[in-house]
Amino acid sequence: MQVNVSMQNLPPYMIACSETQERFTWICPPEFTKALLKIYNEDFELPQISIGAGAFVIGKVTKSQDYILRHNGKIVCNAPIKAVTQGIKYERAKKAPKRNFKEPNLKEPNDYSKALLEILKHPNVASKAKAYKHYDTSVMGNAIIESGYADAGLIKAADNSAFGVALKTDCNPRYCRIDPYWGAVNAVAESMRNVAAVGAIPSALTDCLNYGNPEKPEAFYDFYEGVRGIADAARNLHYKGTKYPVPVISGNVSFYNESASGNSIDPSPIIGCIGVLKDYSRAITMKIKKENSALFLIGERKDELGGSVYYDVNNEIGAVVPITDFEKERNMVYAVIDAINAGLLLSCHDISDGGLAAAISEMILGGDADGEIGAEINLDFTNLRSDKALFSETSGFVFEVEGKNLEKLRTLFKFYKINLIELGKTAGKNLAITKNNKKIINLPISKLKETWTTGFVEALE
Amino acid sequence: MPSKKPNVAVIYFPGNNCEEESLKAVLASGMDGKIVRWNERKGIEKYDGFIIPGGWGYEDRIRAGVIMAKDPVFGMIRKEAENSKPVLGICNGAQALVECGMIPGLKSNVEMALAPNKNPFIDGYYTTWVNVKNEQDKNSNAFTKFTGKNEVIPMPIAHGEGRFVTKDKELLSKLIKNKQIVFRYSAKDGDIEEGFPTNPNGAMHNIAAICSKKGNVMAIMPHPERASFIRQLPDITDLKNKFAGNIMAMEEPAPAMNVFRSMKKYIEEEIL
Repeated sequence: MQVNVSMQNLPPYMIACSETQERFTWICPPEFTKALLKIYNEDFELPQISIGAGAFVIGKVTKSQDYILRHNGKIVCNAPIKAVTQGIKYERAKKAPKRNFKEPNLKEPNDYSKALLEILKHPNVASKAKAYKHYDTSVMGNAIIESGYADAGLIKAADNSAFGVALKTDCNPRYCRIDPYWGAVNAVAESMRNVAAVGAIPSALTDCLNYGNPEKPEAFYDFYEGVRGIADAARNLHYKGTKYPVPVISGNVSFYNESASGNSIDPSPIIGCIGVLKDYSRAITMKIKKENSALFLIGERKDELGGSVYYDVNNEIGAVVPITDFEKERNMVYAVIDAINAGLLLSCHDISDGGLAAAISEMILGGDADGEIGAEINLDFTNLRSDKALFSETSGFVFEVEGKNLEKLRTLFKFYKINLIELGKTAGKNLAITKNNKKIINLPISKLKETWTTGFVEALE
Repeated sequence: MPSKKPNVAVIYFPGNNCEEESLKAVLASGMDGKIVRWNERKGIEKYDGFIIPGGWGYEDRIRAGVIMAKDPVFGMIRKEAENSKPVLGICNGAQALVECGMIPGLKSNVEMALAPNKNPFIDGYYTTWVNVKNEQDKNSNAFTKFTGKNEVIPMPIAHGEGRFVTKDKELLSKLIKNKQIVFRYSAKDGDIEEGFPTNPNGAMHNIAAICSKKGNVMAIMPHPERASFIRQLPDITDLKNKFAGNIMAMEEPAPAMNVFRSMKKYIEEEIL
């Protein structure tokens, strides 16, 4: 009964505890052992494929209450199983750090076109094609929506079935730096908006919690608040059609992420959301599909620019992050899902980094930046100063609707008590944004494309 | 019309990861098929055709495809190909066919290589959708019997070593003369632009697929099995947008399915 190793004379603690990847252990009834070993060692010839590879019997389950490891005939570990399985509990002190964030007093931009291009150039907004085209996005032949084309990816779930499964991960560490609770709530809300934007129902969550040193009370406070935020969001952004929480089914934690001088990373609770679509053919992407469609916004713009790309471009961080109104958020998501599944929307994009203006620009461009239909937008629907209206990252969606579907759309959104804000229409070869009869942005698609496709690439250089 | 269905083996080597979807395309085209482990060896001669799928056979040790090419089963497949059975090597499979010399198959030694991509945007492994144009008449090989000459088909690529190259200065003109260059990277309108992005990896003469002189063996770098159904096509392709909301239409064949349908017709006409 030997654990196979790749080199001789490894100390027993190393054999037992090293986190070598891509290994499996089986626990099987003894009568299956021979068959199992045959599959690995003869049918798939593991020993012939790689040195030392193979399936080996390394131990057995016993009726005693001990966890025993032997090495070269000697017992090197003998622990009661409770010590191994119950986990380690400890009390950590938490203390809210002094946060001194203030809202900046930015002057209104002279040139809104220039301001938008700076947003599109920011690596958090610009096209990430340089990253995702380095990975296989269509292996297994089930990808319906690949990276970049929409807010979430979508695969066909199973043979002889119309189900689709959507997936997206999200987190904004800058929000979390300002407010670890609301930043975590936002991560959940945004990942759910992302799967809803392709028409899928947010159905499960997973998390990847990255924080500083939990032995420091301030860092532990951020972790505590982050977990509280995720739980509150999951509980309040109900699974559609029920009052049940969306379950957090798995996750991992990474602590002790600090610089050499002991500064903690920004709290980064990355949330993954899985969504389910009953009919994958209903899924839509973010790219504008037709000329003379109506463009709508849901989610009124608010002065919530803390942690925004706009502030970052102006070397500020701010203090007021987007706050999630749970009831409104639920209804927005449900309404968008229903609208997509009823075939009422041609394209849809949620609002996040870069705000409303970035969302519209990305809809014009599409994932491959080959879009050819522009938009005419009117900002008179809001009293906010135009830069706040365009770049605030308050939760919301933008979508494209054909004239023939407008009545059904209004009925649906009335049912969900969500205000439909008319933005304008798809038209021409420019992005034109007007306020009080003045055109404040007028950019050709080619200029949007040039900036958006190079921003991330240049940031990497 | 033969009553027996063509039966194709999708040969799985350790490290391949595209065998499932390759088999799906085989079955959807109307053939029978089975994923056959590289070491099953017995009964290889019973199959009517062979697919070597994509992935990282033997971890791409030394070079992509070279260990696969030296595996005993490859010798058996080569013998079946000499008896006119069709062999389709996709991506990693294409690399193996070139490593063993079955492609281009003019001399008994290796005459070409699939070298690392030359790509100004992304170094190394690169995935994107491309368009390939059929350069040959319908009946000049086993794989384009349903694809018109000059027809342009969308397919995805996903590889780091897809650049067809050769040291033999006369080889290219021989290949053209022998009608062995089947698919070339082109723009959507069929224009063969030799630079990036139309040519995603710097392959000479924009070559995406080469067949043997007899036309029954083909090495193709793009993945036809990932472009065989309408639902697989990306947003940029008009075909898919037309069918949004129609699940039946989504499952219909897309143009790349014709590579497998052609294999079926070839087997029915020449093997069965």
